[in-house]
Formats: sequence, structure tokens, C-alpha cells
Amino acid sequence: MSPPVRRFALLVHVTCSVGWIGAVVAYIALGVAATVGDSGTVRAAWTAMEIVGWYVLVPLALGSWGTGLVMALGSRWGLFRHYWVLFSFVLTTIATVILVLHMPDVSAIADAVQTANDSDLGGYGGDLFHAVLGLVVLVVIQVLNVYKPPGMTRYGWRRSQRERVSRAA
Amino acid sequence: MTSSQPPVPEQPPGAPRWVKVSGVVVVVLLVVLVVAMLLGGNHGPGRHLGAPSEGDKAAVASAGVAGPVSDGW
Repeated sequence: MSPPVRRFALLVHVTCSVGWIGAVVAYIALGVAATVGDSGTVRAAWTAMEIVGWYVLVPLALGSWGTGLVMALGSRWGLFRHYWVLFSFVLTTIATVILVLHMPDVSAIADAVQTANDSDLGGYGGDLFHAVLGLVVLVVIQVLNVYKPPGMTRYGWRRSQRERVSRAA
Repeated sequence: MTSSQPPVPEQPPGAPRWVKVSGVVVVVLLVVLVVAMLLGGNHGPGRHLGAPSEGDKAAVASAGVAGPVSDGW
């Protein structure tokens, strides 16, 4: 990738990734409201959680995953050469897959609470387990991306050796 | 003029400590997760329901065909 294209790809990637973290924090706030609020608050919170999930979290997750792939393959870091890139990609993939598979549950609960008795609303919780665990994973990914801890994979090492030899020739 | 570069190792370097520690942590978490799901029963939206209304049952049942996560494990 040329430097201007790489910078633009980086801009989109950082926007999606950090935006995803912010959206998860907002989702957790709604989940807390769904856990401790009165019946009106619980119903409103679950409706908001469904909307935020499908129209904010899922697009940002897919954007982060896709742009991360483009960044890795289009830069000197590669996808499989450095452990921090590989770990980031695997964790992002897991987080995205779990999010997409979990959202139908959120929609089901958002529908269910609309017709549930007020006395039953407390049993639905606030989906905090998935959200908090997801936030932890995303923060770990951010730490890896900012600090880029050293460590080259065997494939990356062999690749760099080949490049070193071809440069010396 | 001789090069002052250190000799290049013939064998690739081993995985750094943070990779090994992270790998162990991930494996342990996955084992805990699998055990929790096997012992915890239903992982779907019905797991928190006590005495659901007919509307709840329909919503939960319809989510049961949405994907593996919504099925009872």
C-alpha cells in the first residue's frame, strides 16, 4: 500500500476499533439500567441494546476485523509474521463471531420483555457477562496494537531471513 | 572493514514469554468456559426465565432456531 492509502486504512481501522470499544461501554451502561431499573427502564434499555447491538456494534466489529486484515496484509507487519498481529486477529475474529451469534438472543429478550409481566423482568438480567467479557478482550487487543510486544513467528523469521539474503545478493 | 553486526542465529527464536503465558491463559479460560457451559445447562435466552408468559415462550422458541448460541447447551 502507498503511504496515503495506508494512512487512510489506519484511520478507518482505528475509528472502527476504538468506536467498537465505546459502543460496548454504552451497551454496558444500558445493561446496568436493564438490571437495576424499573419496568419502563428495563423495557426501554433492552430495546436500545438491540438497536445499538445490530446497528452499531456489529458494523463496527466487522469494520474493525476487515480493516485490520487489510492493514496486516498491506503493511510490513504481515498477518502471520508477528505474534501481536496474529493474536489481535484471532481475538478480533473470536469477538466478532461471538457478537454476531449472540445478537439473536438479545433480540429475543428485547421482544420478550415487551410482553413479560413486570414481576418477571428481573429474571432477564442485563446481558452484562458477554458485554464485560467482550470489553476486556477489546482492551487486550488495543494494548497489543499500541505496545506491539516483540516476537516473531517461525514463519515471520524465515521470511525475514529470505528477505535479508535477497537484499544481500 | 569487518561488519560489527551480531551473527544471525540459524534456528528461529522461540516464542516470547508473553505469548506462552497468554496461550496458557486462553486455554485455561476455554476449559473453564466449556465446563461452565456443560454444567450450567441452557445458554440461550431462556436461561433467566422463571415462569415465562406465552409471549415470552414464543420469543424464546423463535430465537432457538437463530443459531447455536441460542440453543440450550
